[in-house]
Amino acid sequence: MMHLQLLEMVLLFLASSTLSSLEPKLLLFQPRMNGESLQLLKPLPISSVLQCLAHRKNFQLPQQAVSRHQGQKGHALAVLHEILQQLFNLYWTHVSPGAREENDIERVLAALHQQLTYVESLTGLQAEQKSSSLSVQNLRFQIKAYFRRIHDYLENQRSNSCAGVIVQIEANRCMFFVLRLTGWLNKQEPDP
Amino acid sequence: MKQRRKAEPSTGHCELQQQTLRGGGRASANYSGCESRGRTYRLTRMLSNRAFSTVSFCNLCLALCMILQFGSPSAFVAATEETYEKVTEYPEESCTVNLILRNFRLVVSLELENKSLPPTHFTFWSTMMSETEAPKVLENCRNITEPSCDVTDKWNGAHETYVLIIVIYRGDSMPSYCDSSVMDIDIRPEPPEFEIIGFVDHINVTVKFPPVTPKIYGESIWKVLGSKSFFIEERAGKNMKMHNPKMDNTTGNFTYVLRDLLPKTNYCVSVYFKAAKMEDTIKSPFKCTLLPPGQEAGLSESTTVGIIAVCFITMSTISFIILLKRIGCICLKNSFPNALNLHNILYWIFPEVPPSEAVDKLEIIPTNKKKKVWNYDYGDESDSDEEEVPKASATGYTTHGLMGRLPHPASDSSANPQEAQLEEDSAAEESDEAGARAGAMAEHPTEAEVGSGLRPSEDPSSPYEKKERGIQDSFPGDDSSSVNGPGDKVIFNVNLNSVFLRALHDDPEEASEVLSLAEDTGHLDEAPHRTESGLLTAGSDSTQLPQPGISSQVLWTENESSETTDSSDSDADLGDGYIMR
Repeated sequence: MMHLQLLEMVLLFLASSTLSSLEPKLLLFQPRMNGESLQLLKPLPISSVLQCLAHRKNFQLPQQAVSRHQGQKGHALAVLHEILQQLFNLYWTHVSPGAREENDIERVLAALHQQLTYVESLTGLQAEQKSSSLSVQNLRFQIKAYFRRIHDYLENQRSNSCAGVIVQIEANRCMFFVLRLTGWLNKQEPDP
Repeated sequence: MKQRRKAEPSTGHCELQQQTLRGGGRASANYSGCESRGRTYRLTRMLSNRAFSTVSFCNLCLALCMILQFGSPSAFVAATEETYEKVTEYPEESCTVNLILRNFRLVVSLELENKSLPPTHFTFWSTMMSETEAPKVLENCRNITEPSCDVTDKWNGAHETYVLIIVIYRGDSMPSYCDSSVMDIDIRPEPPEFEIIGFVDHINVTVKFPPVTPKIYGESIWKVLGSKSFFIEERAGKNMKMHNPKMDNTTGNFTYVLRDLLPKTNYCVSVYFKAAKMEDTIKSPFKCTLLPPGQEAGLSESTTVGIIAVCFITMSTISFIILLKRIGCICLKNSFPNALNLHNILYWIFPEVPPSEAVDKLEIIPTNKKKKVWNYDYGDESDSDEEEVPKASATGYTTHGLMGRLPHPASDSSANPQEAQLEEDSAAEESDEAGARAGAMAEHPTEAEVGSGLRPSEDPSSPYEKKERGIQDSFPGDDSSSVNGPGDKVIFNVNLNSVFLRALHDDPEEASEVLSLAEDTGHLDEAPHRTESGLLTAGSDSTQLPQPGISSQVLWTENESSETTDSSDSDADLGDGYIMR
């Protein structure tokens, strides 16, 4: 199970962004986050990290595949939508409540869902999903496979405390990738 | 007794056999074999000893070399045998690892909490969390004395979590280690070097950047830090202003101008990169400069001084002029005496043209040819007996009667005695005419014209200027003007001192009065009298001259009686106090 700290990290990460913005311009995440969210993005105490070096796993984030299609706004939005959706599922499945209230989990999930809805309204991804574009489907498949690997790792490392640390660090890496993607999307002109 | 002692196989056995041989003969053969084996043993032993010595000597030499190279035996041991697993067996030590951007290089810096025993050297290990490879030693940071390591060219993945393991050596003591994980968001960028140059109203801030865009994590520094991460802070007292120039592909020295500054003001400037976390931002020390005074300030001062000086000089000049004026040195009033009054000098030079006067031409018709019609000479003459001494009137004037008439407008002003003669004859014939003519024959026939007025300054004896005026000949029944035609005019000069003048007015009553006066004095002259407007006859005493300037018509009547006797009958009393001659 993922540590709750990862949940708090994601919550503050999303809170530091402009999720609640009603501006028509797509501005999901701040390129640079505030101090609180950044602190939570840092891994657990280093002793845990050093002890967990043997438990590391390369989940193969498809950065290069996405970067090749980054020039296309539709593909970038599709990748963004898929990542947000997979994160939602990841936290819904593997986040352990711990000492925290379940409201925090709900808030994170609600924030993720809001972002998903916003992206869909901007790009009409529902229509795009129905259109079954090969390139977009390929990208979605790669992202799904990426998160599938994370899911499997957590399933296999249920008793290992290092699994949460490893996934936390991987989620941070994914978040930075999303930040870069949204930063690029924000620089693009809105569709007429 | 024989005793075998177990001795060394090489020597002891052979010595026992040698003693036995001394006791017998059988051991001799055995002794020789033993002796050869001993020799061999001894030789082998000697060789092994030498080899061992050689090896030991080599090891010793090698150890010495290693000691000289690494400084301590423990380092040698660590360099050769230390592995990551080994490192993890060292005791852990608390430390703080900072990821610093120094001179546009990514540097990992270590801060130990235990400062009791200073470390001698360090070794840096690192790995990425996203990879499964074991931590590796950073070759450029192996056994270094400084607690910092340049990882610019070692780390090429942005947004990666790097794990650092630093082995701390303290002499011969057991090494320890500390570890940490860092990300790009942990970067603490140190401020670059800069210079400031102050001017009157602006400051040039020159920031020193490398000639080539530096890269960290394999990407441009501006992409990692952000193009809006560089700030320039401007302070003046309590006032602070932030400048955030955009830096995309800035290379080389970068100059930024702080504008709209106040002269003669002390400004302090600081530069820094804004870190992802505010507490990680490192600001440069302030550099201050006092701006010089502007030309506007200096100009205003000099302008003020100049204006004040000009005003002072102007006021002084005005005051001096006023003082001189009051004293009387300048701007004197013209209070010259009349003698020096030169205002009329022009009048003297260019006398004013007398106003136009109503000039009436007067034609004097001599009434008595024989007699001296015109005789102003009241001296002793032959006619004086005939003449009465003119009686002085109450006014003191004496009168002589003269008759004349207004000339015909187109008539010639000249007169001749012939005309006078004819006039006389005609006058005798025209006794019944309504008008009376007054004429006089002058020795010097001239046509007298009396101006509308005489100025006091004029010489009364001077001849009148002849002025023609369209005076209609109003003599009734003047059809017989053939007698009194243009040729019947007499021109004469009249000495005003000897005549009485009276102005004729347009009033017909006055004229009739005059005329009546002329009729009343008809006996004065045998010649027919004709009364005309504007014609006066007078034979009465007249001792009063009319006032000058009064338009007057000279009318003289001369009667015989006046020549003979200047009785009062010869003087025409005009009834208004004038007695005309």
